[in-house]
Amino acid sequence: MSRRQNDSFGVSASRVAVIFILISGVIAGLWIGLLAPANNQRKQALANIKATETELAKMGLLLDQNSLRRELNKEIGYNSDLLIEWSNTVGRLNGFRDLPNISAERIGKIDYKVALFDVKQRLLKKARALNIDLTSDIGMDAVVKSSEDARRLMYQLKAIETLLDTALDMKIDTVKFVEPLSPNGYHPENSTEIFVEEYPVRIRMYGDLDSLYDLLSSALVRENFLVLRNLKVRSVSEAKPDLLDISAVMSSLLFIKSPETMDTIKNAIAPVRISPRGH
Amino acid sequence: MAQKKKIIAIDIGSHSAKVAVALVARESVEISRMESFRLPAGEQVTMETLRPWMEKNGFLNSRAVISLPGKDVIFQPFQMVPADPRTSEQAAAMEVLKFNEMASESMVYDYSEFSLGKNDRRLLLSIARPSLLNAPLALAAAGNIQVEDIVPSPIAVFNGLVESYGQEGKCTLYINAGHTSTSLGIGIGSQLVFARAFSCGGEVFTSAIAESSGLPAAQAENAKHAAGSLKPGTPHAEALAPAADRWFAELNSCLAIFRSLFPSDTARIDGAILTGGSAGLDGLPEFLEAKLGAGVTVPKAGDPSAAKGVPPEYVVCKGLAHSLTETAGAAISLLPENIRDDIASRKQRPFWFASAGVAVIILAVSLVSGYLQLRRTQDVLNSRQADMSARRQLASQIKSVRMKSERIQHMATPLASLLKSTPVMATVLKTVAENRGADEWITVVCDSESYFNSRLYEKGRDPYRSEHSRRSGEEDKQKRVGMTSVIIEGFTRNTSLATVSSLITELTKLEFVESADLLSDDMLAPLPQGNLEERLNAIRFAIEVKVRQK
Repeated sequence: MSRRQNDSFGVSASRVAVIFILISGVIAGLWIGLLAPANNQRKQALANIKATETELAKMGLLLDQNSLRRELNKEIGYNSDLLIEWSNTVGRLNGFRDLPNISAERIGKIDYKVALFDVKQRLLKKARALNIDLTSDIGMDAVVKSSEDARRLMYQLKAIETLLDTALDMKIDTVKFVEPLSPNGYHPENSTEIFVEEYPVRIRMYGDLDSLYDLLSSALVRENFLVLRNLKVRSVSEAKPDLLDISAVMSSLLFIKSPETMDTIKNAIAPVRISPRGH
Repeated sequence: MAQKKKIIAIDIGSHSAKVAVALVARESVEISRMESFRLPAGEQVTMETLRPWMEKNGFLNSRAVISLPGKDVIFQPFQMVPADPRTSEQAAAMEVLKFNEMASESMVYDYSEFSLGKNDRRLLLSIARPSLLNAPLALAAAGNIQVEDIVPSPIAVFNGLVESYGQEGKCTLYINAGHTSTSLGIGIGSQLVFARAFSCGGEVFTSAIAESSGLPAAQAENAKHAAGSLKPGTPHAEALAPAADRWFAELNSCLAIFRSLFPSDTARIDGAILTGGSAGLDGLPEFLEAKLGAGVTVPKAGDPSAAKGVPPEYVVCKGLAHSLTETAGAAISLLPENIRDDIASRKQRPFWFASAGVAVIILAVSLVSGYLQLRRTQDVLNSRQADMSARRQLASQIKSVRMKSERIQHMATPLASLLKSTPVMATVLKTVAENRGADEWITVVCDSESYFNSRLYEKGRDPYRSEHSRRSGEEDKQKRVGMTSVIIEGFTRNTSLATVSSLITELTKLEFVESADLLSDDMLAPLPQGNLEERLNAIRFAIEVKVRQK
């Protein structure tokens, strides 16, 4: 053996090193420039798909597109039915449907006072015509204080008018007194946004059982719809078993928002208060 | 079939330049042509001098192996002890370091290994100054000749002759007597164990004839070739004898060194091979034979059994060509590193190109297929992503619609509670009226709130504006929505309460009734008219009808 043989081997090693480095560089370049980005895209796409699958699984909707479309159409149909039902219900329950003019934002005190006078005169006149003993005080004061809201007073007046009209129509013997109570607001279970206002009226009257039946039946009719909140029926005396002392709290409902105009549940976190209007 | 390459072997001496054209295979050499060129006396050899001759013979632009004069090379045999842990390369490098320190430069060196017995390790180092390689390399470069190897003359002489004359176990002296110098190598069997050169050659015989006959050097040279002889009785024998003695004295001093290095019997000269231009001097082999006490052989031109038909003066050329084979007796090369690298690179280049080509193709195929596979996967994933995106959008729409539906249902809940009171009370009133017995007098029918809250109907008092309600807020108001139970109070003269029980049974049958039973006696409201039970001779009772909430 001589150095000649050794060296030729050494030369090869250096050449191999150079070629190896060059090829490694090419591989690294191609990997970094071509394969690595493509591989990253693949990983990203897989992660996105996995995340979407998890999301759909959590929603219980890990279905194919056709099934999801069928489900969507079913839900849309169901929602549409609910909206129609809601609309019909509101149309039947709304106690202020024939007063579109007072649902406006601006209701002045003068509007209330004029309406109070008109309603009182009309009801007294009607009671006299029906020979029913109606108290001259229908529970609404003509004096409007600075702390009172004309809109609210107007709705309370309308609720009293509806109740008395119905009671008079049912030939109640005597109306001992009638007075409005504070309105209530109602919101969905999972929201604080009020969508319906209740205007309760307390009444005490005398009448027989048939009149009471008629009153309750009439309260379920679309034109005179009233909600019965409390009822106490007492027998006046043993001697007059048919005469009943009837005390009740009945309410008219005002729908101020529809499902479409309600904020989403997520956004309706803060309680929504109704500020006095017309003041 | 072994691949052969065409090589020219160049031996430039002081008297002539000789070139042999050889076809070199891995283990064999085939000399196809030999040419010599008489050099002008006393002139430095340059390519300008040689160009016409080399061009004429087609030697330019060739690959060549060149001889380095033996007098420019230091030959250093040394023995390594058996336990020496160094490799031959390390031992040679350490030995050369000593020369480097003496010469203050990095010497060019190579070595050949040989062994004279079991566990015997010996090296023959050949060392030369790098500057001495410049002349042959410059000459080759001027002729655009690619130098394949540079081999010292004594090594070339040995390589050229050992194949034909090396005998197993015999110590043979290989001599190449040139014009101004003599190269010698001593081989034991096929191993080169000693090499040397000295500056004395055929010129001493020419000078002797010139001095004795008064001829000019050129004519004396011709006379030497024409009639020169050492045999007694010949015209120039007396003049040539002292010259021969002088030449042998130089040779003998070399042999003395050899004997000092190899004192054993195995290193005793068994025979000698005499080559070179001076080998043709008549009587010189006999003279040498007499001096050495061993047989001397001069290879004859055209003798196929001797040096394979190569004339004695071309032995160096033949040995140079042999040095490129793997079967060379002594593979010693003094080629500079950079040229050696180039040659190795040239040799390996096709293989590397092929390997690199294959590697690149494999790599390219792998990368392209990998990339295409990734693209295909990506296309599939993109399609899946689009599908998932569409599904997510549909799911969001479903969720949104469901939320709207749920909102309506949630809005309906308080309404449902509000609305059920009227039919409940109407039905209870009707049921009581229809099912009360003749002995019963019903005094009160009301909801539980009306029964237990005596101030509920107190004029001027608004229960919805109570302090409690204001503090509790909207949620508290909604708790009051809907009737939870209905109270029916009255008196009965039926002491067994059978008719009351019957009434309770009828009430229980109502769809919205959860349960119906007598109200606990301690829960009864105080009677405004005093003790009616005694006055009426009847039992007071109160039925609580609990309304189903859902």
